[in-house]
Amino acid sequence: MGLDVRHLTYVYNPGTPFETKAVDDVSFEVHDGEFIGIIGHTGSGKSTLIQHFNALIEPTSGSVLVDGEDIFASKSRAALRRRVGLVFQYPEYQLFEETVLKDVCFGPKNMGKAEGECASAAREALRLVGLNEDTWEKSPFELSGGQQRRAALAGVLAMQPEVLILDEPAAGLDPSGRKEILDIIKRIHLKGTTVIMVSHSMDDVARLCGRIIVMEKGRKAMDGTPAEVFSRVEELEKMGLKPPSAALLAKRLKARGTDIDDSVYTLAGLIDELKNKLGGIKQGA
Amino acid sequence: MLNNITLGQYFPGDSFIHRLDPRTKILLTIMFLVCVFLSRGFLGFGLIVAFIFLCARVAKIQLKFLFRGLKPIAIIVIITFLLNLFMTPGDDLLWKWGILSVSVQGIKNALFMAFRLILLVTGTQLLTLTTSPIRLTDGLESLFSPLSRIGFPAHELAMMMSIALRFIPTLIEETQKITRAQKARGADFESGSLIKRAKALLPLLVPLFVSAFRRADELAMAMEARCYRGGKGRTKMNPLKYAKSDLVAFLCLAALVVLIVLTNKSGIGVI
Repeated sequence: MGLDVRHLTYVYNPGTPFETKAVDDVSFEVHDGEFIGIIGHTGSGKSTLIQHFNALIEPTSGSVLVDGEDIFASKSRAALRRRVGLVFQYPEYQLFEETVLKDVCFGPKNMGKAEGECASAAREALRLVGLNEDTWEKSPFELSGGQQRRAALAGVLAMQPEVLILDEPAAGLDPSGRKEILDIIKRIHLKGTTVIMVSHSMDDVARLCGRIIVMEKGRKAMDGTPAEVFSRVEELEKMGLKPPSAALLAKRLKARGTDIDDSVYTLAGLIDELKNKLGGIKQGA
Repeated sequence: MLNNITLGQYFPGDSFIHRLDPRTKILLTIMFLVCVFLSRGFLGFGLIVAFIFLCARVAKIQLKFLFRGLKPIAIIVIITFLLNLFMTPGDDLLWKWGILSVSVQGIKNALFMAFRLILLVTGTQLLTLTTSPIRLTDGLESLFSPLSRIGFPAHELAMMMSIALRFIPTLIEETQKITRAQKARGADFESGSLIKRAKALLPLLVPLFVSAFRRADELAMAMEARCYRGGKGRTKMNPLKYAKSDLVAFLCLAALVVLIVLTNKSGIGVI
């Protein structure tokens, strides 16, 4: 299903001295099966923006259309929420049930599914995030940080959303936890779910996303493929964003005189490029 | 829903009143309360109102902020008003229906009591609007410190108060976040019977408590890591000092007390 964001504006504390425009006239379309990364500096409005997508906050003006239907006008917000799953930052803080399985069942249960259906959806979600069966009957508070994060992610996946939105899914995890959670998200995308991921890690976004939206001061600053976005390194740096390390390295190598295509932005791409060029030198010599 | 808690909200500024020593302001607030109770007529109240307006003017606080604090006590004011209106015995009855009767004396009394409550709250609001919570607890600690000789934990209480105040906004923010997270999972906090709604709060309360305990734990650890060990021998970064302006402020309030006693004596407007 497609999301259509039209001239979305959100103002915090309107009419007071503390008035701030968190989202300022943002428009874009999300197509079926896309993997979109939203990046931006702290306070650029990323988190506020995505909370509109499942009608948790109402915009000051503008609209979000799901399959052509305005989600803020429609009466069936609950139905829309189940189609657009939102995973908040540090989602493990929302765990509350006695057992992991029961907690994951919370979402499907709220959708009015029968007990058995809930449990099977929950089991499927737990398997998808790679939590072993021996953790299912444990209290969620007994799990490690990374496991808690995955259990919370399963809690949203169990609702079987068509669009999955994640706010900094890897924040605060150790490198192996980061990799695990990102691999899970990649798998979910490959299974056909549309994914929108907010992140401040350019490397993660460069590696995973097919399209990148850059936010600055509440406005959409860039929107394009990773190659397009990361070719504008100077602009990104002006916004206080660090381009992917592979792109930086390529740029520096080129500046020092290495003959290399500096438009690469992933580690794998850089390695290929270097192999090509270095191999070429050998052949020439 | 949780954003409109003004009671005790500090309004930053740099006026004569803002700069007064917090101890002075606390003592003056007590004196102010005495004034309100001393006054036996509307002339005295007029003086107090003038005093509040003057203070608000000096502190550059908009009147709407002063009156916003009245919202939570509006019901108490109304009940007080009605009780006094109907329950005051008097000879000159204006209206009577069954056991309910309204006399001229009743109207006067009702207005007087309601007015008194409103003045009490707006006056004390001046203290919390012009004093940051940190300075306020500093002031309280210092005022109560003589009592620590007889075992009163002045420093500990002050520390507890500042920590509690510090974490109110954090907890409010956390509540909003978890509410939204659970709503995203289809939780419904707004509809259904009372029992159903109380049960629906569980997914909100459990994570909130868990995180409050976690925060408390982390804070205790951080304080210990920085060698915090209670009030004994602890010095302050900004020690409190009385200045000339504090004396001026004391004199102002003393004048108010005298004026009110005089209006009571004169008998003008006394009930």
